[in-house]
Amino acid sequence: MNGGCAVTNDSLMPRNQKLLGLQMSNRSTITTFIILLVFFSGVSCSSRPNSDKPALNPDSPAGDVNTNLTEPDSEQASSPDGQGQSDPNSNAITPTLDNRLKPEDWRNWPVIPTLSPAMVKIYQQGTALGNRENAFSKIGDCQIIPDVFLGQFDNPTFILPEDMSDLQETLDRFKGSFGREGYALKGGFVFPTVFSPLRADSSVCDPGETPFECELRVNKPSFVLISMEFRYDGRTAETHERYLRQAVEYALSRGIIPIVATKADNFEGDYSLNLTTAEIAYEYNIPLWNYWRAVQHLPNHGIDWDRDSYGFHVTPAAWWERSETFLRVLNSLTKDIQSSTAIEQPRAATETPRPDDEVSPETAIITSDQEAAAVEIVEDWGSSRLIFDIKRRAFGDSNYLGIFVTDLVTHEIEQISAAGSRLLGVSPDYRYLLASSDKSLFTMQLSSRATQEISSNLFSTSPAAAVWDKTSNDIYYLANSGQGSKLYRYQLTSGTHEPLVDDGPVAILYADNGIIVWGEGSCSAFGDCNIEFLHWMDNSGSEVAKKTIGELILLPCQTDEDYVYAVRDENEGLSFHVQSLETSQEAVFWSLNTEYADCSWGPNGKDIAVTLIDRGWYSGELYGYHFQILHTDDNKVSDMSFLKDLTYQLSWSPDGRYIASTGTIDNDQFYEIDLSILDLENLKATTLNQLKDFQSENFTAIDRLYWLP
Amino acid sequence: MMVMVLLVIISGTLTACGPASSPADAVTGYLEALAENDQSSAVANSCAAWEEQALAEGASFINVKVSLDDLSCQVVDETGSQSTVACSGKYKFSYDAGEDQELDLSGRLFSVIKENGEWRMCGYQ
Repeated sequence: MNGGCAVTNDSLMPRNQKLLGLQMSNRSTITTFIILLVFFSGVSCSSRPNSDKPALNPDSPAGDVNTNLTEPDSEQASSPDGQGQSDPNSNAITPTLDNRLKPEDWRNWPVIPTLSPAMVKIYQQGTALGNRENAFSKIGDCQIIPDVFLGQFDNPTFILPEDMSDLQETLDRFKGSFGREGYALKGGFVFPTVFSPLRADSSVCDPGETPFECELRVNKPSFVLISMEFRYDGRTAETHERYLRQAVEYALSRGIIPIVATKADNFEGDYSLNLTTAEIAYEYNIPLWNYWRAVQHLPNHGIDWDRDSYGFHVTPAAWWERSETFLRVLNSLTKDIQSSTAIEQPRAATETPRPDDEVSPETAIITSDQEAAAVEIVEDWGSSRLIFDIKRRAFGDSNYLGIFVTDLVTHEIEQISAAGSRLLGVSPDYRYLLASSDKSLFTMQLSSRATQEISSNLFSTSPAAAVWDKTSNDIYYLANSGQGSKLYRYQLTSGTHEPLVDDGPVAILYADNGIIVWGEGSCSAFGDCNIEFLHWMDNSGSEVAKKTIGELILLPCQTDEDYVYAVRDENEGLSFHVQSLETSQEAVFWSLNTEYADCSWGPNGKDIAVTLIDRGWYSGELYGYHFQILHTDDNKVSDMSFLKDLTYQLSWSPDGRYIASTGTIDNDQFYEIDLSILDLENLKATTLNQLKDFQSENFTAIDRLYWLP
Repeated sequence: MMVMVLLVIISGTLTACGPASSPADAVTGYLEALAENDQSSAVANSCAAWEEQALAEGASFINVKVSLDDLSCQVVDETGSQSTVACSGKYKFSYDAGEDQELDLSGRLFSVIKENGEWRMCGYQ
């Protein structure tokens, strides 16, 4: 039926006999018996198969193959960073000369990859968030269980062969990871298994967590090897691509460098799985360990045809080749990191300040009163910058691709925070951003990229879990608490976390002028939050006003003085309401459209930019977008839909002259982000075409958008 | 498009698989379908939002011999069209290479909703 692996004494032969003590304590009786067989077979210490590597292999499907492990081919060498830097996840998405070998030429990719600058930054950001520099994880099947792969390196008595002595530092560095199986590695595992919460070890993994997520959360590695080789019915290049992409994106979202690998076999008949792996490696600029190439010099290219008829198992020599070359991969990548001059020394992550902990003054890193004076004066915000995050929906989950800054003059886009980062705000002086990654809430200094964790317990289920108060420079955030959440104020000057609301907050919509607007309600286990009451609270925690939402439609543009909502009446009429909290007087705007998508107050405090959408009442299909400016002082409406046919989310520039508009275009075959600047004085729209790089078959959108000087 | 076609095909099989008469039945049907490598039945016992995950979850069972022992499910909470179900029982996975694995189902809470008048498993924690 399927091409499963089975560990035999043959597969263990190249290994150092001194691993016996370690393995006997960990493995099953059967395995112990196998190891005893190996022991008595007389394999000597440090012995391994003949490692002579002929330079060429005439039987190689690729013809002449350079089997040099570390030196890339000449074409590859012409790339300054080995693998180039033009992928959508690199830090500078600018047109660069891309000298990387194409995925179609994967057979000639070097066995040992180098690390792209983008990955160095991923590593840096990940370790700043707590990933362990000396740990790696393995995600895979029987081909990489410790019995046959790397396990011997964790045996205390193992001695590296003389010609591998240059790897000693790396061996020492990752001690403990080699023999560790973890929670997403087992015989019989396939990609669907590691993404199935049902298959997670419930004694260790969180409810709803997949084995893959569990392993990365528990082990906190800086690298993860993703190698699924198992042959099963229905495995295609398409499904392999889908799952591998999901795994890679999840690892990157945690600041973990994914290492993917080619496989020695070709059970699919056309090497399409290796090609697909190379395509993913190329697209994300992640390291690819070309194991296929590493075994081409071996007899039968490392395939043990005596074991099965479909060429799945590899020979003992190929097992050793596997462990040796992967150790060289780790060595190469860590050396790249150590030698990279591009790395900024990250600010050391401080001890995580938990909301209920005592005050930790060291966590206060921002002294806005000192730095606000240095804020640049912007003459024309149309020539400034925008900061935004990008969200992609896949398999029912939303994945954040990172935080990006675009220059409105050059239109260059730079990624400043790793995949998984979610933008929550910008400091009043525009020098820091407020962001989250899973449950970690952190600030990042835009100039140095230094990060500072505020909380490791963010209530990340919330669509609006934190706000930076424009006046006080405090940060208000929600932290997990039992079954619900608590609202805290984090004072940057003192580093104190002060609980303000104990029960029921699910979103913070606004904080300015001494008033915090927060929503009370409930969130389902699946992340849908329902706000039932809206509270206006002063910064001492006293309630100023409370509104019951009921059938009303809550809108995001609340202020300290106004309650903003929409109403759809029984005749499907839609109206937009701005109610003064002090006088209860309302400005009301009627619309013929079906729903409001977003709203943004202008800097004059009187005008509100809104987007509306027309949607089929039955099918839900989107028919059109509208963009209006509502003038609350005279109740007039300026319909400016002619400027742009797609507007969904809005952000008004601080000088009031521009509105940044974003939406997602559905081209039937793929989704594409539209980001445009609407010039309200000259009545024209400019679209930033560079976002075409983020085209995807999965829905992709900008989630939050702010202006920067 | 392929997924759409697949879902259409699967939805056409729903009647054949039979609707679950109770929240516990929906979860039982789902878990048993996984053990029997019956992806169609797993999907038929899933809510619309879980159908894709049900297919993926079914795929994770195809490499191994599976038995489901002592399965018993009970409703622990029910409000209108939503229910929470707890189960006991164990999956036992047997793999070619001899590494058997067990998966204890107790401690997991299954979310079940009434969709188009029928109870469907819609995720778990």
